[in-house]
Amino acid sequence: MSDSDARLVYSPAPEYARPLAASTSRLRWRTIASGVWTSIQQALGVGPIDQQVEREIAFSRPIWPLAIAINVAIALLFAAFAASASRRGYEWSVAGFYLSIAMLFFPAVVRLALPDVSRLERIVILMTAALGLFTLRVIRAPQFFLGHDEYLHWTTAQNIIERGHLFTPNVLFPVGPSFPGLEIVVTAVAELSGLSIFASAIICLAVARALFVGALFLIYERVTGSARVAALACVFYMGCSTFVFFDTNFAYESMALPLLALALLLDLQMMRATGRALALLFLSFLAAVLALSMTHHVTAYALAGIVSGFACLELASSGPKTAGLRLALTAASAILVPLAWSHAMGNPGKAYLGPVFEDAFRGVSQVLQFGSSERKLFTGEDGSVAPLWQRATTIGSVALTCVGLSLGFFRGLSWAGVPLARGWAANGWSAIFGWTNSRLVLLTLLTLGYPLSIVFRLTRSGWEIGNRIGPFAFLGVGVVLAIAVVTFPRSGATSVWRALAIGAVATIMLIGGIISSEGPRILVPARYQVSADAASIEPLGIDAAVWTKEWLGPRNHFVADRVNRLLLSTYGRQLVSTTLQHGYDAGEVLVADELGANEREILRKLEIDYLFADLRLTTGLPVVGAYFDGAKADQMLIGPPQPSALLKFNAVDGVSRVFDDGYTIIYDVRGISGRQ
Amino acid sequence: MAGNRVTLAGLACAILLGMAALAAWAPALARGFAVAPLILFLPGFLVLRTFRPKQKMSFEFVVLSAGMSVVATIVFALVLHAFDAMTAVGWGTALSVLATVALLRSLFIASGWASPPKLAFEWSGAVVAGFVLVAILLTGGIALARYAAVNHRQFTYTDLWLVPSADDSEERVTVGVRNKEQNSSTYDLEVLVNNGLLIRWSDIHLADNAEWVRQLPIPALVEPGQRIEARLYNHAAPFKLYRDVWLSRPN
Repeated sequence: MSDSDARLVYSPAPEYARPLAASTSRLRWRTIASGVWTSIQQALGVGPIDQQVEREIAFSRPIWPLAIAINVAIALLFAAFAASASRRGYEWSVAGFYLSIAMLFFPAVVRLALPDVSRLERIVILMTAALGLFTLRVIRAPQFFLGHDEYLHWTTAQNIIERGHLFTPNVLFPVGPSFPGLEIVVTAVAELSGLSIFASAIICLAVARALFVGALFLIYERVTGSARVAALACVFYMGCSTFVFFDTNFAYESMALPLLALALLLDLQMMRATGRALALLFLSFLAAVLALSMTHHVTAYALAGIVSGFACLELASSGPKTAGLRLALTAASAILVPLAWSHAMGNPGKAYLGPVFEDAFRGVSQVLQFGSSERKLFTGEDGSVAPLWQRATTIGSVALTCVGLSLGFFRGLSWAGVPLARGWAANGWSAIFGWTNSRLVLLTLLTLGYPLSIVFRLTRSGWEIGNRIGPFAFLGVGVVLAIAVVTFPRSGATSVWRALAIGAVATIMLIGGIISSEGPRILVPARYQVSADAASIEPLGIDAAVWTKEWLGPRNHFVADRVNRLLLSTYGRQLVSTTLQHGYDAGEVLVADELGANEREILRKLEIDYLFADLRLTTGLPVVGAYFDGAKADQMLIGPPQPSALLKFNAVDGVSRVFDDGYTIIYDVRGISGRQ
Repeated sequence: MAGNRVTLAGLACAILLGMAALAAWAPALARGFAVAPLILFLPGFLVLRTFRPKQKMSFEFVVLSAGMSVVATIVFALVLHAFDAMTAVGWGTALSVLATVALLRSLFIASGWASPPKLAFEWSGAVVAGFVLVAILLTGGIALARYAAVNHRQFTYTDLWLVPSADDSEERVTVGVRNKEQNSSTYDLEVLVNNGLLIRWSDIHLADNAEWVRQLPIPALVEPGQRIEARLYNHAAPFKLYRDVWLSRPN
């Protein structure tokens, strides 16, 4: 309905029409309803949208990129002050660190949101912001790995270096050696340079981050035809909770996501290629899929889903199509190569992922039935509650994302040429399937994964799944939000105000995402915390682990708690006992009140050499929810372990106490386990 | 055209020479700077340049070079794995093979490469100064964070240990003390066999991070339950048993 039509309908009814008041009233209500519906459609973006053609702008004087680089460096310096202050116990440090992240990010986004910026300048600013955010990871952990999963992968990397080949079993992480892509690259750099695995990992992860953001920009640019939308899409992608820290950990997903982006970019390049160039691109794609399959199972399956989804949409589309054979080949290779790799490795992901998914769906089912969701939002396992400003920011970021998605969903479809979303009248199947851009349709549909990830995150058992869905759902969320902010409202706000608003929204999303992932424990605190990974890994535990290697030699069988076994496995190169390995939770030997027949039997069965008793465990509840594996030993405890339980070995004949630093004690139990 | 061919050959030679230089002694940090592009950029760059010589040098080309380098490294590892050769020599050989292939291929390139792009912006003194400032701030930030991390020690402690000697001789044990108190400390150490004093060392003065280790002969532990015990006293609290370790004969 045009504006003139609307004015005509809303004009007051003439006098002679009064006998027809009832029908006029119905007409009025219908008209109002129609007007409201039209407004909703306009707000949601149903109808044609203004896909502005970007002007070619020369980039000659790098004033803005330089100013933004200086700002990023100052923000990082401030972040370093905050991280140092946290280690000294200053309460403002966490807020200061988050503030420095906002300071780093906001100006870059504002500049990227402006329309008259050259493509090269956008790329330079985007990469500066991305690598600036990566540097936060270095500032937070500049000396050694802090994440739990990093130690699991470090063990695999050490095995590769020590043995000179792949696939050495890793009891801490049985599935890990079957997907060694990240470790291969890092150990290659470590072997050739002589640098430590930690330093080599930082270099490789920085390159992986640059590769990921660069490839993502190119994908979005090709899909939308706009460098501005592409840059903003990358910026909104950074609001994914895993982007800044989780996906820069020394863990396989950090390398898998760049490989996924690379494979999608190669797939896009194949669209326009023919003949020999197409064959070479297909070989490159195949190699990228193989490398991804060797790196991370879930990401490889996600690529298979995305490429197959694109092929289905392309085949279903009544618009112009790419060659069917090429589509079939790429989709088939994206599906078959990961399956073949997994099969060759003995399908390790099945046993690993199966229980995780089962628990997650059970948790979600409880939430949907309004049962106990198990997880208290913003409350740690040790009962600590996030500050109000963090809760508000996180909720605000989720709300902004939801609003953005509702504004951008139809605009995304409209941008992709879906006739119905463009407001065209239904005209047979072509009105539904007549899109011109299958990739953008698919990316827009991927945003449906975002609410799903939120539901999973509401449960304790599904939190991990929700966290893992995020990076893939945000492939769509990024571009849909970018289209939303570029095309909404259709007229009105000036470029500068719009850019400032976009900057604010993107910054809130970024901070909210980081809080939902890291929360108040983003920095290493001054004081040790029990079973808190980053807050538990510190020099005393490391020194004790190094001592075991130096004075007991490597490859002894140890029982230790969750954190110390990571240190013993990596710094100490010991063989640690895990429930994953053999089904027994040897931790119960440590926490039992007495060394009874059952405990002695466990020591014998598992052929344990040494017990590592950390008396600091007795000082508090475990921050991550478990002292050991969350199995029998943890279930035996209704509070922190008793010091008398950990020290019971002092009175056991045949047990030697070989090491004591006042906090940790190492007992030699080979006399009991029969290993002596 | 000939110039482009020479460029590819030159790059390949540079890799071969780089590998040779790495084989010689070089500080780890310098080798780190040299190796990162060798593993994470040049393999992909060479592959792409060899098979797609006409593609313009662009942001896309740089991204693809880095990506294909990672891919090539991972896929090549399967070959090295088969020979148990995921070592410095193995990786060096792999890169050399890649460079040699590129070198040979460069001899047969019929058409030239696209010219490298000109610098996108003008360099000036102010721009250079700006980048230097960024480098200083960035280095300062990382150095500050690292300094704080290295010097962050909540716990002060002293390690005491008692282990059988490395040669597995039952008649010798090793006793050691390591000071991690963050200041120098003085200790007394007693070694007892079945609660009888075997030897005592007084006034063991250790600086922070310093270590004191002794091997000592002991009488063989014949009876089950017998033990050798080391007791450490710190002069800061001389009458309190500070650390206690022992070796016990199994029943």
